[in-house]
Amino acid sequence: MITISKTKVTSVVLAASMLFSAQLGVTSAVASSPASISNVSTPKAPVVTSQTISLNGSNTSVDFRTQAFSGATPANPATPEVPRTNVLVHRLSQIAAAINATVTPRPVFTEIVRGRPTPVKVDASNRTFKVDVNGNTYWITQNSPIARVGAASSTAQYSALRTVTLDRAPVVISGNLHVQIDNFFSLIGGESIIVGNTKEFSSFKLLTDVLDQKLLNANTSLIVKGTENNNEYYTVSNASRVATKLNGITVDASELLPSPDGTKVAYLDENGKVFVYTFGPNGNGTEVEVSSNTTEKVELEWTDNNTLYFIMGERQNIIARVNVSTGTITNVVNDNINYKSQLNVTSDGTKMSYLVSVPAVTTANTTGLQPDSDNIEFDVTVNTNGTEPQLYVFDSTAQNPAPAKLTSSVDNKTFTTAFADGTSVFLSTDTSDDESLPTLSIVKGTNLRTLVLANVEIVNYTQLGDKLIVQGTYAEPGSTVSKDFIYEIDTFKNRAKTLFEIPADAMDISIGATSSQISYITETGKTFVRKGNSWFQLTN
Amino acid sequence: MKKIGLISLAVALFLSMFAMGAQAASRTGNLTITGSSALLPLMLQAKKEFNKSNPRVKIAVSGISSIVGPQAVKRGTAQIGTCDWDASTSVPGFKAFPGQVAHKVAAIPFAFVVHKDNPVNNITQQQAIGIYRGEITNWSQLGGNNAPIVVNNRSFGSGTRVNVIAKGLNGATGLLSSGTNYVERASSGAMKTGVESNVNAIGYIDLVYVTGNLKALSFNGVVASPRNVINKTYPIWAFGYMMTQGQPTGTTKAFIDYVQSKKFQNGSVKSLKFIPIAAIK
Repeated sequence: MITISKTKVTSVVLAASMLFSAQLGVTSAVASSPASISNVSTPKAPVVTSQTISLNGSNTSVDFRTQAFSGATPANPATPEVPRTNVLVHRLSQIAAAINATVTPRPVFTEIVRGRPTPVKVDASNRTFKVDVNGNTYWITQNSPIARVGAASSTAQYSALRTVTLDRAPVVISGNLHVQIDNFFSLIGGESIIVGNTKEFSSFKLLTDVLDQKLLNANTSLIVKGTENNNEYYTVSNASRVATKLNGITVDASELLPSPDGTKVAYLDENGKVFVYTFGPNGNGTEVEVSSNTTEKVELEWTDNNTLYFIMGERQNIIARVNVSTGTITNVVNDNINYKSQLNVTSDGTKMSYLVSVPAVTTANTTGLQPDSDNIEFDVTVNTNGTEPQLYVFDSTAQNPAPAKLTSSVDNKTFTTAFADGTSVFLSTDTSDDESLPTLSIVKGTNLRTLVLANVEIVNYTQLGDKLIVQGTYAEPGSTVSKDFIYEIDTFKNRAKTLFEIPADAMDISIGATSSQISYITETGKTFVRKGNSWFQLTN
Repeated sequence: MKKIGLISLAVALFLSMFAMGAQAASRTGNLTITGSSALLPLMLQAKKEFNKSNPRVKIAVSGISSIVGPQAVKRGTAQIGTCDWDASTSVPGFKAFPGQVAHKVAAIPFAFVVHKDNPVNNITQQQAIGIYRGEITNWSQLGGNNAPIVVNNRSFGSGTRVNVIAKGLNGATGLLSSGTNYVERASSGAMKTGVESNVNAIGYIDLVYVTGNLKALSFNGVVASPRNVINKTYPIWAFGYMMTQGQPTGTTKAFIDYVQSKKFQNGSVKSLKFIPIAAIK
């Protein structure tokens, strides 16, 4: 006899381990062996138990039962049922309500019989349920592993529909249709998502092959999906994961840059032209070619909602801005110093910081080198002296505005941030010492101070108002165990606080209006957004 | 404490006295990359992006000529040698470098180029062969101005030269190697400067350098573009490679993995007018 406890499962999200064990046998949370149920459709001693499951991003309470099925796969009630397997089945009506699906029990078609419109059962047994979800129709039948896919308005059409064989047949328990939840979501084109040790369900496939993500606002993320040919662009609900494809973007851009107000994005085409796309309803926005200038441009950056700054020129020697409304390009810094990068401009456009680094110089004497030489030999030297990036700043409000070189040190420098008071920050690493940790170097005028996060290896950072949001790896001295966190640093008050723990493969953090609006992409292209006290997976 | 040359160290603020005791977790070290000047823009961009996740890796990038790439690796001067051909195998003019492993970077479209004020917009393969053999010497023979053609060639050892001769000139022999209107350029940068400063010049270069006063000629009536390489109508292209001595490890491998990642391939490779590896069928 199977003994089903009255344990009420109250975990916030159904633990994956529980679901997995349910696939394999009796789940320890709700039942104990031995098991013996003689009728798969009418289990003995029904006990109402429920679990909270994440369905399309919403935690939903769903009743479930343990149901014995034949060990054969797919299950077939007509075949001998030895050995049996106990499987969790969940109440369909509750699942449907959470994913905006409509379930019609025992639908009938209206067909002409003997010249008159007549109700006709979908199948003779009258055990079929119609499920409409995401614009598609699915037909599942009590105690039958055979499901059908597609719309039908007659028995003839129904019989011709594509069939899908479920691993476990739906069953009616206490008058309610129950389904094996993985089977059901697979049938309707959805999927299960494993996040840590929990399992969530989506009624649609999540976006994959994500190249870039950014937060548009608290509710929406911007996603660039890589395809074999051109990239595709989507907005994705941070609550439900519902993706809306952005129509009208004709350019194959790898990165879209949201404006400060989140109403539009800027990007470059392969010829260096600047485009702006303004979002519209249902993904139907408007693309405008802002400038037909084809000089190579990199590192677009909005200052206000009408001005874009960028680095321009084949050798990235010009800092320019374009008025998005008029298309007028203005050179801001044009000093013939090549290879500018990491441009950061204050929101009023008056101050900026950037790095300048130069290529190494290779010297090779190939004079006398003969075709098809058996032994090619010539000297090669690579001179890397002076190739270290250096910090430059520019203040357009100065009496005689001119770029100023503020460093000449040999440390590796990445990221720069310009603050309105003239302070600049960069991440500095002493690459001559493998044990040296990156530090934040804070520069104002001729003064520099170094800010070290204790035991934290800073990986990157981004700006949020007058603070820095820092991604770093924390490890106790001498320990080989580390954890990754996001910190908020106030470089003016010399304060740091830990915001969130993140996985080690997180990268490319995106920040919204506050430090609680934050998202990241992993090395494998999965994106996560902060939701309450945990990370919510947006794409797969 | 680091030395900062132009500024004084006013404050060294430690939020903890134990800051330097933590174990460094990410990749470290120095990485030197040299070789192909055609691949230089892509390597510089990869350096910038790789450093965003690996700020503790110091990367020095330069470009001069493809043959220098595998030679620098052979000598131990560089960990990665960039080359416009697979230097682990023999190609016309160059024997294989034993023990080296080739890692694809991207496909590189090459184009015959002229000054943007030159009225000629197209060149056929036979015309190109004629020019580089010295048989066609005046632009009027191509429907252009009555002016001598100044032939710009890349120096021996250039991967661009290897590929343009093989695919643009169909492996033709008897090509110019000297003359009044003949110039050899040591790098892609020198080729760009040479052609865009002379309205009567012709040369060849990879597409990323075609900016400013440079104009890419259509070849046999087909525009030089990544799209036309992918659809197999434009023939002058080749894969670029990163050469390593044996299989790469550590930071070198991580850098190569990044260059070959979907993010970089579908991002900067495209925006810099190269062609992602996977796009070539």
